[in-house]
Amino acid sequence: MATPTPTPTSPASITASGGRGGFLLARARVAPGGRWAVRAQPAAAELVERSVNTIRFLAVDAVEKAKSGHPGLPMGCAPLGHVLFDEFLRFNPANHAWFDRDRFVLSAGHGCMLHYALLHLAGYQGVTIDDLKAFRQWGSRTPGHPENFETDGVEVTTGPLGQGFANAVGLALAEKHLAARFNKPDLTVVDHYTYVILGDGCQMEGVANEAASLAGHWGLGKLIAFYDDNHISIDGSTAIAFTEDVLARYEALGWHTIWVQNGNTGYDDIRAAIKEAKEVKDKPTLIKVTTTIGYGSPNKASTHSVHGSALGSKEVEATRKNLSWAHEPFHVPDEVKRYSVVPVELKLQNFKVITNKLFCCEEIQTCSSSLGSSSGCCILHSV
Amino acid sequence: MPEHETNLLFCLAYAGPLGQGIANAVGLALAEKHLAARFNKPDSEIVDHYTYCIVGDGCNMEGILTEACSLAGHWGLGKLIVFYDDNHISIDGDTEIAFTEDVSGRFEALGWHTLWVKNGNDGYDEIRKAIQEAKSVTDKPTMIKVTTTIGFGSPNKANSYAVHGAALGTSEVEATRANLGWPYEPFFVPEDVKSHWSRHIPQGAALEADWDAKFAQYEQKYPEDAATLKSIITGELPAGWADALPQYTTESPADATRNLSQQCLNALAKVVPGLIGGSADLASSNMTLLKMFGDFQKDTPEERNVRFGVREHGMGAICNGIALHTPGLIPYCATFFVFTDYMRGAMRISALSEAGVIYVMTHDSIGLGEDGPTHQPIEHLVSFRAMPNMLMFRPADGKETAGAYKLAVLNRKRPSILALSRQKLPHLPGTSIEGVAKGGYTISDNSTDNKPDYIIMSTGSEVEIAVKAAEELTKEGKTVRVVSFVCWELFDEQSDEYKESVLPEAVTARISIEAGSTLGWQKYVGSKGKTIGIDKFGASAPAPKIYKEYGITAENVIAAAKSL
Repeated sequence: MATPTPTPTSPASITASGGRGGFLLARARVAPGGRWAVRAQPAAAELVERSVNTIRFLAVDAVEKAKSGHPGLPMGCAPLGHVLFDEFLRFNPANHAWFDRDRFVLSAGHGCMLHYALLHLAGYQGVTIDDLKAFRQWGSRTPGHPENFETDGVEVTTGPLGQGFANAVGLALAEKHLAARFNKPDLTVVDHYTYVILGDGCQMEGVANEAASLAGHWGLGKLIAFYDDNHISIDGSTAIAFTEDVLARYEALGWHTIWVQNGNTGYDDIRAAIKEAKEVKDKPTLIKVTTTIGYGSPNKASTHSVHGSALGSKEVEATRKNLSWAHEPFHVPDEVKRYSVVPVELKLQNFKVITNKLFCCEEIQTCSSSLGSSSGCCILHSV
Repeated sequence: MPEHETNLLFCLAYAGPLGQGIANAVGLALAEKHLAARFNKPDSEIVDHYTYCIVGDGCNMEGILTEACSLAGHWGLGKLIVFYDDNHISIDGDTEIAFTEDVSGRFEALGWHTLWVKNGNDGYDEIRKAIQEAKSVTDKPTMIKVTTTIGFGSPNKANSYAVHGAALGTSEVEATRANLGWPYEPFFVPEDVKSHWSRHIPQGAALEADWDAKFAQYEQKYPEDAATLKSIITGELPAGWADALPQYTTESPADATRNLSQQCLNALAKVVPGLIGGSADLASSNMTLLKMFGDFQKDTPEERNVRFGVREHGMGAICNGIALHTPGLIPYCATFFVFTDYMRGAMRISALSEAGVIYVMTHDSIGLGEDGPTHQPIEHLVSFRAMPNMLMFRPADGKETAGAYKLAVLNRKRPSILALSRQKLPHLPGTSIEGVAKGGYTISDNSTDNKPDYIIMSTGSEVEIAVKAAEELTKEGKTVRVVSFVCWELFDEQSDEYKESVLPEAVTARISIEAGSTLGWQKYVGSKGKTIGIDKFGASAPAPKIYKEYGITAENVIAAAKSL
């Protein structure tokens, strides 16, 4: 991949050098106060769909290659994952440990191929395509459940259900505490959100209720939880053992609740929900996102068999046909690659001086880039 | 005075660790609903009692309570009535500090009926009315929030955390006596109070006598059901029940012990009338479904497969309730062995309360492979060997699995854990059901004088590795004894003579191999032997690779032996 020439050295602008595959480049603009920020405009619907399927198939292919793993959640939560990571999450793929990044936890850790696929697309060097191909293999950086000490971009180790959700409450507590201690009227140095995806299993675990009760009591307004409401757990339909009113329980615990009824294709619904959640400052928010587990698999979607087993080569083929995904395993289409957040190669001299911080925020700004506006663009602001 | 035809059942288990008791109560109520569905007839309601439980703020904060209450709501346990002592105080002070949720709202979300007695201090009619109403709601459990003053009557300490867990002290005791107009000396029970309460003795005797008469009629009309119910009540197992366990030989098809466990459970289900249980959403992985029965649900409570959902702690404590409801109810529950971490509190109470719950724990080591270290037990075996009154079984094959089940069923006052493999294992020559009862026993030995060159000891999935190593060493002209240490507790209870016959003091060249912590093995291996195990976290990879990389191999056993 070509490194763009850093023509203007002033922080005020970095010119896009267009056309070369694999990069999203941007025109920089200095906002008042000299702050740099990446602002993402949602890509055109077609590109979003392609990105979402990329995520799905990276997961499907990795699980298939390993003959082990959990394809259902990644397939069902790919839309949510795409919108969250691509349009809302603030992070620097070149520096997974940047202090003021948004925190993301996958409490339903078995669905980690979703997280790995997103980290890969986002440009984290710790999750290359070879890492995805080595999913669940000895010595790989993509273990079967997320391990923070193994994979850059993974905040906490999850797998045992409910733990990640409680970790997220702790992450949000930390932000609120540090913000209260160190933010000044004229300078906000601690300002990030904590997002967590949890499933039916996590919701059944008592530890999640304990943590949620405290999050409500503490008014952790920058904690946003997504409840993957797919009605399936290992033993089958949730009708078998889990029929409580989850949203009502969270309301009783002092949370704000939202329901996205179509988590499969309702991208605007997902966006609107996250926006609303961010506006509620005095309560954490639970967004129930109704999805189809194993979305796209014609014979296994919505069943417990897609939760924790590889699809099998026949079903993988059928899914490819069903979603019109003609590509070979582990293929990331160029236009999806290009759209991803600014990759590591842009760690240039100029940026080092500034601080190397690149992050996305949700405000939409139009800009013209030499790539053409249809692929969306980012504007860099310094910090 | 309110009429009551029903019996009161108090919490029978050790309470103390908060939240356990309410989950036990859910189990007690489950047992009643189940037995009522199985044995009641249109003309004879032989099982008919309520379960009452008092919980406090502390219990309400514990996650286990929500797990158990979610199930109680799902199962529509209409004869479960819970009183929530709403006194706004916990050890660290006012509940404002850490507990400000809408408790009744939460219970309603869980499918409960809720009531509020605003004056629990002297609103006696309110309390009576609430209980009446709760009893009339038959399709949902009821939570009655009773607002009380903690330490009511103590003029200086009421309503403070100081009165929660410390003696009042002499001056406050005096002040309370003065405040409540109680001039009596300590431990005095006034005559009128005594006399009022004393009616419960004849009344209770009459209640039971009535029931005995009812049962006599029931026995006349429904002799078979009566016999079954009687055996559940007394806990007496049908004659020859253990013969129903599958008979395995070395010719039997190799299989994971989790599958062999399912065969044993299904065989037992046919002859043990009180066997009931299930899994925390892993029935298809734990292999715990009883195929001849359906699911225990709100409308089918006579069935015996209980679906606990992902609620391990609630599950364990509910099983304690089932076990302590009636001697002949034998509950089993299942999850991955590593998730005993999620229900250890309940397991300890099983051991302490002498509740013979059977814990079916599969995926018991690195042998589970790719799910990785979060799922691979390491320290769990030794941690349960350290727990008093807990039997920790790790069977190697079919015969040992059957043997473990036989002992688990027989031990009604000791809970059992069975650690079972995900991976396929061979049936080994030399294993036996009788051997399991000894806890540790010789499965192969080519020495003649109780002085083998080497003793290799192991459990479960590693016994076949021990056997392989022994074969190799034997080929080189050595005498080797292989010991299967399926249950340490039972071995420790054997006579000194027996122990000497298995582990002769004179033989110090001992090697242990187990895919778990080496801690504890020293007591059998001795200071001159060698332990082979895993004292670090596992890894996400195919199982055979992990075994190799972690040195759990026959080669290592042989090398260890030769180094001694």
